[in-house]
Amino acid sequence: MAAVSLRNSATSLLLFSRRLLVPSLNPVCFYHKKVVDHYENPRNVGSLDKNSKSVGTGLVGAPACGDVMKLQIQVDENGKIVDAKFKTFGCGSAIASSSIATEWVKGKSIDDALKIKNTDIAKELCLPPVKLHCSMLAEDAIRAALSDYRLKQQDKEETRVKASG
Amino acid sequence: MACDHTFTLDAHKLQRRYLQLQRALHPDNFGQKSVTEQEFSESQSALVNKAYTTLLKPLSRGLYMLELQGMRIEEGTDSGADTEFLLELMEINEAVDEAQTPEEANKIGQDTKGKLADLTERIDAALREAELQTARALLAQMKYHANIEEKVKEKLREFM
Repeated sequence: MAAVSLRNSATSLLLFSRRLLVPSLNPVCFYHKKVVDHYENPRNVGSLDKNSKSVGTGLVGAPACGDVMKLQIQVDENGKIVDAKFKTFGCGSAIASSSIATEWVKGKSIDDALKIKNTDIAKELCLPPVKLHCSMLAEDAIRAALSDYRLKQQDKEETRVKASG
Repeated sequence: MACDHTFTLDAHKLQRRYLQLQRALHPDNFGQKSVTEQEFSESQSALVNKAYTTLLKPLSRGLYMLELQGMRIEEGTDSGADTEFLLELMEINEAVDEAQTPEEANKIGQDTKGKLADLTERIDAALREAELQTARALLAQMKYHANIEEKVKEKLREFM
């Protein structure tokens, strides 16, 4: 006991700084294997041309944990999502949630993509309650990307009307 | 911890006070004392540790000061964040990720330090004026940049 506390006293300062320097040593200890899989082999990482009319970009952040997530969708002329990419800077759960979100939106119509719920993502990844907000971030990113796409399409429509008028 | 109730703080004074308190409270001093005293020493010394780490960093200090006013940064998506700001964060994060040399990473680290220093000043001003909403928004920005600072440190370690 005495020895333990003596060591604690000598390293209490050190320990604090070390903890700051070495974040999450081994995610395998804390995360479900599906999270680890998506974290280690994230699907669809990258970017699509954000200036393209057929691409919708969703950019969201979580201020409490400081995570940022970008999710992009490419929609064909039939309204089907043909491609999706993401870039997430954040914890393993946020990365895994956005990875799975891109997999799920691919091949869906816009309306069907809107039906993806954070609870489904959380269930698939077996996220613990404290990490539910990570899947929420992914759902919000999908919504943001879809609404960006819709806005672009509206603009396109308006320019067409103006051009013809 | 004998601190003034202000956001700006004298880190040396805080450290001195911390060591002073631990010298008096640390369980090592109570090895020969009663169990009650030992338990008291353990819990008090742990509390002093927590207080010190909370107050030391501007981010946790600011969040704690907000908490004292019954406010906190809510979990979940930042509905108030503007796209420009998120875009900037995205770009800095990507730059850290893609940095090829320690110099490149260092440069981002320095920029981030500057941003954090600027935010610290603005948070101080906001808290002085009791503009809690502003302080909270600035602390949220600080959290994003503090994360980037950590990533830069991580990146620099990879180069070692």
